[in-house]
Formats: sequence, C-alpha cells, structure tokens
Amino acid sequence: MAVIRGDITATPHAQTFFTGVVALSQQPTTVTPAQLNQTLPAGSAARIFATAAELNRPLSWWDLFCWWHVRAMSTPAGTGNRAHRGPIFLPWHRLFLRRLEEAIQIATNRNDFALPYWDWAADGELAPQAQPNAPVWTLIGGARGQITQGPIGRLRVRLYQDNRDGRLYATAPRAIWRDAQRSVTTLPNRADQARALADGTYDAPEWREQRTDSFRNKVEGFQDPTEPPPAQRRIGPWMHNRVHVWVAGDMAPGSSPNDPVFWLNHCNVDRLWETWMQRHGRIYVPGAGQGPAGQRANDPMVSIVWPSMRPSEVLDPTEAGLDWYRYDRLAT
Amino acid sequence: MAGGDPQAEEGAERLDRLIRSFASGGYAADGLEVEDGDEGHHDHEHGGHDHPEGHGGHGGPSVRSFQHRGHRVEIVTRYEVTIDGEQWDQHIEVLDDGNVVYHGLPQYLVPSAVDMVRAVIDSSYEAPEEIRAGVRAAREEA
Repeated sequence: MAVIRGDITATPHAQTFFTGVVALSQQPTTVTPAQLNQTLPAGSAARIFATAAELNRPLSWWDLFCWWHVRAMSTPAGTGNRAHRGPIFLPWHRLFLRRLEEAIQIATNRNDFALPYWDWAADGELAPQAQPNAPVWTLIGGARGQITQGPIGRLRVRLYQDNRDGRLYATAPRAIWRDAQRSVTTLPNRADQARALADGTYDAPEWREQRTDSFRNKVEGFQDPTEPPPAQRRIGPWMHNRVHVWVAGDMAPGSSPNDPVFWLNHCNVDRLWETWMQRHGRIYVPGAGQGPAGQRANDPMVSIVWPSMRPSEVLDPTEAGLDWYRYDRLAT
Repeated sequence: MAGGDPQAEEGAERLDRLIRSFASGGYAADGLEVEDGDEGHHDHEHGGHDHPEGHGGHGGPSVRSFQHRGHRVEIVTRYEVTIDGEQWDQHIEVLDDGNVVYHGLPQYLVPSAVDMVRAVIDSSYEAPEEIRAGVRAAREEA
C-alpha cells in the first residue's frame, strides 16, 4: 500500500516520526563498530574509531543508518561518490529514505506511516531573523544548541565525523546539536525552487559540480539555479546543500543522518525530484555504458541490511512493483 | 519498544530478523561492485577520479587544467593549514571557478579555503564538549 507523505507541520504522521526516531535510537542491534570495521579495506573513511568499550558496544538502528550514509559516501564513483556529487544523488537517497520509512513502520507498528517533508523553500520566504523560528523548529526541538527537550529530546546518537582529522568516531550516546545560520543566514526560497524545477535536463556530462548545467546539479546545490547565470556571482551553496549548511551542527559532517532534519530535508528533495519527473518525464541518465561508473541507471546502489537496488528500479515509487509512497502535494 | 507490549515486541523481532540476515552475510555492504564502464572507473576504495575519498587527508594538490586559445594550462594548488599551531592535513579541493570543497563537509561549497577552515572550526573544534570529550577519549586510547 502506497503511503502518503505530507508536510511536517501538517501531516498526522509527524508524531509517529518522532516516536519512531527515538525508538530506533534506543533499539540496539547486534552490530558493533568492530564488526563493521572488519568489512572495510584499510584506509576506508567509513572505519569507526573508538575506545575498546565503544568499539564492542552494539550500535542502535539509528546509528546504523548513519553509518550506511558514511559507507556510501566513502565509496568513490567515476565522479563524486556513490551517493553524492553526481546523478546518483537522487536515486540513492530515495532508497535510503524508503528503508528508514520501513524501519519506522516496523518499530511503531504503523504500516501507514509515511515520512514527513520540510518545505524549506516556504521558510526561505521569511525574513532571515524569522527563519530559525519557523514552525518546524517548534516541532523538532529548536534550531540551535543541543536538543534535549521536545519530542526528540530523548534521541541519542553515537557516530560523529570529526573534521580535526576527518575520521568517523563512535562515542557514548549523546544528544544531537544544531548551529543554525552560522555560515549562511537564508534558506533556499520559492524562486530558487522554481528555477531548479524548470531545468528539463536531469543531468549531463561531465556529471559533476562545476561542469554540469542540470536539474540534479541545481537541486543538490552545487549550481546556482538562477537562469541565465547572474552577472554578479552569488555565494553558494544552494538548495539541498544550503539546507545542511544553514542548520549546521550535526547536519554539517558526513554523519548528518544523525539529525532527523536530514530526513525532512531529503524527503523534500525527493518531493522536488518527483515533481520534476511528473513535469519532464521519468528519465534517468546516464544509461548503461555511459557516464561515471557507480552512478549509471543499472549500477547497483550501495546498501546495507537490505539488498541493493538500481536507479532504474526506483524511478516511480508508485508503480505496482514498489507501491511505496506518493506526496500529498507537489512543489511549484 | 517497551517490554510487555506485544506489538512492540513483534516490531523488535522483525528488526532483529533483518539484522540476523545482515549478520549472516558478514555485515558486508551490498552493491559495492560495479561493472567497468566506458568511462573506465572501477569501484576502488581510494582515489575515485580526482576526488580523494579516504579520510580526506594527504590528498595532494588540486590540479585544474584547461585549454585557452591553443595554450594548455595547469594550475596546481596546495594548502598548508595550521590551526592553533597544529597542522591540519585534510585535503581542500579547488573547483574550476575557484570555489573550494572538502570531503568532511560534503555540502559546503565556499569561495575560499579561509571560509572552509572557518566552517571546520565551527563544526568540530567548537562542537559541544560532550562530543569533543568522546572523540578525545577515542583518540587518546588509539
């Protein structure tokens, strides 16, 4: 049964999302950092560093999703990595989101649960000083500081990518933190969104950030969506990337799935992709034998716990074979 | 997932079954292997194209090359960064238009290495003490 994804500020699934997030962070697996490390080659950025006690303490389900993200982004592709900086960005995160949705359905015993999205372009219309006070922040514990109150106040995470040395560490369970507007003061707005959606090219050679004019590059956020390009270069990043940078704190490093806002952001990005496909067609490039390895339509996507899927298999989340979800409202 | 709740226990059991399946495969990720393509990049753990993907350190210089009016140009950029007097040896990559990116902050696309190092300090050096203490303990024991 396809579930209906809605806006976090209006959907009846918001409370189930919070309950599920906390439940998954308190639900231990039997998987330890030491066991995951044994699957990695020397030098992998997905290797977890920790004290002996933390290396052998099982991770929670929530931590395991976080590690999955780091595992994919530490695996190079022909350009970028197996989850970012190329055409794979949208299908890989679609698969990632769906698996969390399924895990929350199981953990909360709510088969009708659907992930909520955060319509950040709407908040981007607010004055900069009003943006950290938008309704979404009342719901999910505030835009600044450690989140110990509210419906996710009991969320505890253990993984953290530390940029003193770039390593991934496992620590004792801790609250997440946010540091909104530290680097950029404004969210993407409706005009940015409309311009990105108007680009009819999904992606194109050279498939990478500074050399590609495409919807994917705009929505991921490496390209200013303004068309034609403004004479005065604007400082990025844009769209999805800008949301990460605007929230900052745990949303900044590769361990960003720690923060439930990661999922709200990506659910909205997936909604934009769905909007784009309904407008321009369910098209994915590169196809077989073209483009960067690891990002082509029939290349397997990096997965843990669940079997891998291919980009070509996730283009329509409503088709009979998947019957995953639909959105209550597409973007404009 | 409170104890004594039959529905919660059923959910926990379903999640456990998924983990047992993951364990039976040796916790290995699926989908890592990619057939070689026309553009000829295997799925190595290091050095995909010109984007270093290891810990971000020791990535070497950024090399931007292009042709202009028949002249072949290469611009090689290497940063040496110290923070509080200690070497920070992560790789900052320069893109064609001069913006820089860094693997450890994957969504940041900023105009200069100065902006990037500020973001590194904001996100790690100035993280809450609870985080820094956990990392410090791991680093000291290692």
